[in-house]
Amino acid sequence: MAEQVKEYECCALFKGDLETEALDAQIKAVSDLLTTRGGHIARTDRWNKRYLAYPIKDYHEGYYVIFRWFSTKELLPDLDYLLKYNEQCLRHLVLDYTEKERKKRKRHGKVQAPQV
Amino acid sequence: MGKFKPPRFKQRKVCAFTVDPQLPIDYKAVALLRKFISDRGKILPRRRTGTCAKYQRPLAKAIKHARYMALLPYIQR
Repeated sequence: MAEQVKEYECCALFKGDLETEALDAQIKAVSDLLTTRGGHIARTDRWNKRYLAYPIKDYHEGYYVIFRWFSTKELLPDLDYLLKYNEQCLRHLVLDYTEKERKKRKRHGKVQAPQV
Repeated sequence: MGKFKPPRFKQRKVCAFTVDPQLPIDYKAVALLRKFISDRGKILPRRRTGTCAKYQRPLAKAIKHARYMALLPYIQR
């Protein structure tokens, strides 16, 4: 049976002292992994440098990068490995957005219905 | 004679997410999530905010995800 393609989101927090080139390289590494393993990147958002709510490894600032892509679940362990053992990455969070979007649509549909 | 106490009318709380279905329950919407945590950084109960149970569950999860990503504090001093 073919694996189900889902929409995923990964939020990665990189160290605040990274140079622009180094950050670009990190983003490229993640994007390359996603695309080479059969994923289709929908969006990549890069936030400005941001103060952290609490220091992580003595870092008070960081860059947040958000990836949205469609793929099967097979590449998730590889992505986890890439970010987990990456010195420059302080935190990462991968979430399945397929279910969430479906629920959101249902929620909007419910509210919109009585207006007719 | 007992003291006369005027009846206190409390303003009825409504669920913000039911009123406005466009409000995103997402860990990245930090400004919105801040309305649902206390000064100490604790998640406010439903009885304080009026959020209905259906949306309190994903809201609490979103706050926890935001805390993990250092977007919100675990504790504020």
